[in-house]
Amino acid sequence: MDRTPLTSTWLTKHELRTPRVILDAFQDYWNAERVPRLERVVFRNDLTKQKALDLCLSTEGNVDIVTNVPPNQADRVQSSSFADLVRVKGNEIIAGVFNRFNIDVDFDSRQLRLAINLAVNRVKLVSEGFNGYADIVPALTPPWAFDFPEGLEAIPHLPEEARRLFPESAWPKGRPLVLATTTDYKKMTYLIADDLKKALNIEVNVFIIPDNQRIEWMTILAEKKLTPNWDILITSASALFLEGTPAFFHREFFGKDGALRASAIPPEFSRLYTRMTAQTEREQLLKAAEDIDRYVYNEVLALFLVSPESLYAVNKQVDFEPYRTTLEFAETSVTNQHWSRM
Amino acid sequence: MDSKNDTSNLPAPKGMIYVYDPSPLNWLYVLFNSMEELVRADPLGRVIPNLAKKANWVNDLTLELPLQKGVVFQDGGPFTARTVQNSFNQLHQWAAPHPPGTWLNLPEETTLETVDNYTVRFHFPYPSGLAKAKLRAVHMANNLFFNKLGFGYVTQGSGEGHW
Repeated sequence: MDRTPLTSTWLTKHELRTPRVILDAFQDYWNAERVPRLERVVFRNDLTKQKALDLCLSTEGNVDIVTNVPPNQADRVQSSSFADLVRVKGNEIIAGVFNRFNIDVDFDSRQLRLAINLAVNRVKLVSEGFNGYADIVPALTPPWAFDFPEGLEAIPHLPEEARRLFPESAWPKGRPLVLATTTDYKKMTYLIADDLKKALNIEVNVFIIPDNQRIEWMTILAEKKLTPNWDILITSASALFLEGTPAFFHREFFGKDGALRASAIPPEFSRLYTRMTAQTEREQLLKAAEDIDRYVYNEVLALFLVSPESLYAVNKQVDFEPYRTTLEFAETSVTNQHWSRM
Repeated sequence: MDSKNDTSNLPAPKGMIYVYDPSPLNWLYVLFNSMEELVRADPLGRVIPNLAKKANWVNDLTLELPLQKGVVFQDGGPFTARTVQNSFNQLHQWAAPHPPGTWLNLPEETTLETVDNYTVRFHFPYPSGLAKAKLRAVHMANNLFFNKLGFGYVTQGSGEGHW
């Protein structure tokens, strides 16, 4: 392995988890504000997603917290007499990558990228794709990040304007547009395809990358040796912090070591990103980060979409305070009525 | 030990929970619940000091971090500047030690100076505004950890491409 940018990201080929991972409280922990309130936390890896949720919603003493609850299961959680739904603004951004390596479609055309953005009904994406458990994000920085550029508004759904702007010169007559995604975003991708068909009057094909081929498809994109055969990839990136946000999102989509980049590196992006990374004063760094999001938005460099909420099913006797960018249990406690204390 | 970190009068932990976490980042969450770094994220996603009391830029190339005193590992060994030096050295030897990407690496030419037992200074080759955030990926561990596991490289022979 060397230090060249395109060795930048590990792609998980397979994951081996022990059936259970047991974390015991450290009695001599130093930080009074974060002294563990629980004696033990056990990650269970011996269940399917469905079984884990079923156990959490209908039993005591088997599963207390389920993370990554699908939006279509949220109503089930809310009607459970054993668990509550806990929701928090997320740290994941879903967006469409324009494949600017394609030679027969001119995704270098800002007008084409804007037309595609105007064609998508994001309100419907949130309501139908995520049952309401997602937020529209104007570009790639979510409004709850500390470097969100105030005043930036999501591109509206204007299908007639999209049709008017759609540059015939940039799109070969009769050529279908290929939307690709992984199984995670299948439902929203079909909604997007429907919007594009109606607004732009073109054929749209959806390719769902099979789970067992995911690694190969994402490797092609990360390595950039081959040209992917899709036009727009619906995918996501996540953040460890909600400041310096472009390091997590914008860099991944447009930066030199961006695993999701499907274009040459935009020179202005490089300039702005370099400027941001040189700021050692926090306020200046946040301001430089805002400029990056504004630039990406003004240039319509991606198909801007949504950020899903993080949803948890949590046993009613568990007091769980979610973090936006991580999963930690230092502040989590249980009541006297919890099964482990009865 | 700083007085605000006095945990002697706090109630003992009680109860246990089972968690099902299908996230592909579960490996990282296990780590964040069992290891610590000089900084961490607060619930809203801000970068805040943790094992460092604060992080001050002395100039554009030098980041000084006074460390928490009275911190011990699970085996009773102390957390000191030497721990930071050793943990930095262990991670810094690999080209791509972080699954999220090499962008989390501190610049290759970065050096660490031990000012005293509880103060360290990172010296960067160029202004590195993301350095504080990147310190979230420099996990502090004791000799026992690095001698037995070392993020897998004691048994795997490499700190890259696996966990």
